[in-house]
Amino acid sequence: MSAHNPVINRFVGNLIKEDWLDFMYSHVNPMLTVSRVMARVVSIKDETSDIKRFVLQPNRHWQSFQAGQFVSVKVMIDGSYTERCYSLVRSPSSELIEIGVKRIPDGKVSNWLHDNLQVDDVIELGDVGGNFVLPAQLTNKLLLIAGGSGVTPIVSLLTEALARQPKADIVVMYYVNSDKDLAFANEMKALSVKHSSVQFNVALATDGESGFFSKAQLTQVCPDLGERMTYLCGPQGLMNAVSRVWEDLGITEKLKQEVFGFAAVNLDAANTAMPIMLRRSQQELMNTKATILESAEAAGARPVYGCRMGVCKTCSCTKISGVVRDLVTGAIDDQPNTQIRICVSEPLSEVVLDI
Amino acid sequence: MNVYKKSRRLSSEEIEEFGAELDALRRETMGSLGKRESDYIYKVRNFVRYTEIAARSSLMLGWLPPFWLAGTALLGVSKIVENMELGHNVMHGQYDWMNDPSLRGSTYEWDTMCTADNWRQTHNFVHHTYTNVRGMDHDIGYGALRLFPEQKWEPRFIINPIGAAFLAVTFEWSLALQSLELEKLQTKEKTFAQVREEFKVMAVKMRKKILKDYVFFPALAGPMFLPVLAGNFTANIMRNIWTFSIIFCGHFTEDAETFPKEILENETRGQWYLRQLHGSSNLKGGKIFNFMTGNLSHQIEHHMFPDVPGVRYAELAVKVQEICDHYGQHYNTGSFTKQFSAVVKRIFKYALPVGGEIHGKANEAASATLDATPTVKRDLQYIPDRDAA
Repeated sequence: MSAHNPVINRFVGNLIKEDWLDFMYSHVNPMLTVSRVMARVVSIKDETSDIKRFVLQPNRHWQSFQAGQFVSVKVMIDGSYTERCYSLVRSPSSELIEIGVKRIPDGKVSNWLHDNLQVDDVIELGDVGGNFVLPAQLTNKLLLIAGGSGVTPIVSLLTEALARQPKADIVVMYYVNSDKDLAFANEMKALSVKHSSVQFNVALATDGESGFFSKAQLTQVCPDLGERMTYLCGPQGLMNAVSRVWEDLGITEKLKQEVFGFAAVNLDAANTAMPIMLRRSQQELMNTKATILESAEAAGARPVYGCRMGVCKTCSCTKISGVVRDLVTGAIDDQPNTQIRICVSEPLSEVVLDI
Repeated sequence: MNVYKKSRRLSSEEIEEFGAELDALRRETMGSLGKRESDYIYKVRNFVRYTEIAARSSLMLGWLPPFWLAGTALLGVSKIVENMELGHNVMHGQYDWMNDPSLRGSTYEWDTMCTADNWRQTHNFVHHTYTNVRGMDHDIGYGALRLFPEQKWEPRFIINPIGAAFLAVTFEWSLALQSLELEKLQTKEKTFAQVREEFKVMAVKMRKKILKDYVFFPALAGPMFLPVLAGNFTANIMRNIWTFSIIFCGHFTEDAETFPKEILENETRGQWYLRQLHGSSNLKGGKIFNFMTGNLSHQIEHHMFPDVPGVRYAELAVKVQEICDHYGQHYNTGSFTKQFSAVVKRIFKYALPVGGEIHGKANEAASATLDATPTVKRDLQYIPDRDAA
């Protein structure tokens, strides 16, 4: 969708507010914006009983991505924009983009997308991110391990690898509860038929022992797993079990994992009690949870947030004073007047924030 | 002028209970924010945008008196609502929970001379933290007026009424220049060089606003240059006088109190609420009045809950008043006429060297709140312009 010419663009931010122009444009077409990435829903399809596929047509501000990366989807729920990241399923060369969304019990965004989003609706997309991508040069043989809805970036990687090297030697191992839960299996099966170098395996939990991951089970399917560059995305249990095997084999450098959220931190407990002062909203509180954001919410404040996992910077705010630790990087920040992301920051001293 | 007779002296336990009740009210309200409030603020924003478009279009036909009058009045209304119900409230972070970057308190820039960054410092931080604390809250008289007997009389205050009228007409300029604290030049606490340096940031914003209202839109009107310019000028003056009146009614009415610096030492949450209550005053009025004042007609609730969306103040006021009644605390409210007359009376009265330093009585309530056991230490340091730099 074409927006306006670059001459207008130069005035934006200087003389005219961007949101004012977006407001004017929205009367013409909601896809028309100055810089925000908008996407129209082209189709919605049930993939399984709890996974839906959404095909989206982004506007001209959409920039490319790499196979295996995710995009943040912003939707307004109960008056507040809420973001979640979903892996991009289709190849980066495709004009349309696609996400597969599993309905999570009590999941705010996934339920909303399943229940409310309609064809022709326009939603906003945020940043593209993630390091779960193929190397620049595809020299190694690949092993792709998917578990449940973790299959979405795996499909993308498989498609991309074959687009680059039609004869790439790839083993796909897909763990899923039952054949009713198989998502994107037809696509992958079709690829394995078309490319004889691809070996596509499915393990169903309903089949008993052979349906669950174990070193023996995987070795049987893929005897040379130690030689392969391995990509893994799935539920935490599967990720832990696979990582342990790779650790035992001493080949962790060959394993790439996609982790949504930072599971290592216990969000419900604070390490040490520290006072947090929210200066603009005139509130003082103690940290009762692991992060400043969680503690502030527990105390009844409603700070801005986005991904809640240290990706999007929506919750970034000025720390006027105090020491905090970034739970993702472990970096300690004791400087005054710095920008911190409160969703992944833990206070190590009394902290004053400009919120 | 002992206003404290109207409130019962509370024990330190009572003060903390009072605070806890208000905290509970706040939590309950914050938890209930949702579609209702977000729909509301988008409506307000659209109102501002549509009225501005209509007003400026109407002014283009400014040679016809009805169009000029309608355009000017509507532009005045649009500017008032943008500053008060939209800008002021958004910049308090009242709608931060919506996660809409265009309504985020830390980045919103409003349509007035005062830069949003300076405002977040002088208003959101200094004024809301040190509400009506003498020597800390610069909003007491804006460094130009004497409004309370506790302020030391100086000969310059003789022209208080003229000063106030001037402040009213030029209010947006005064607010813009407020953070310069020009009165400190007189006392040599500041040098001209310092002021010039601080002024640079403001000048950028001022130039932008002047270009918009006095060059761009008049020029766009071509031969209607002068009517448009006059209309824009009048609309800005309208807003200045209105915002001045509403804001002065918020803290300088008859029963409003000021406090000595010592009150801040070891001030507890309950004491903080009490100070906000005694330093603020409400205006009674209908829905349209509330809307046009940016809900600052509920100044008490705004000071107790600066980050709760203003649209909720009216319903909060009922509960706050009940809590105040229960603890025997005076809840300062009245019609606009009553409260504004009291402000005018102050402006005239304290132009004269009356009142003087009558600390003893006036600080009775202050000392009452000081009796309580300290629990939370508050940063007493005043750090000017840290954000603005």
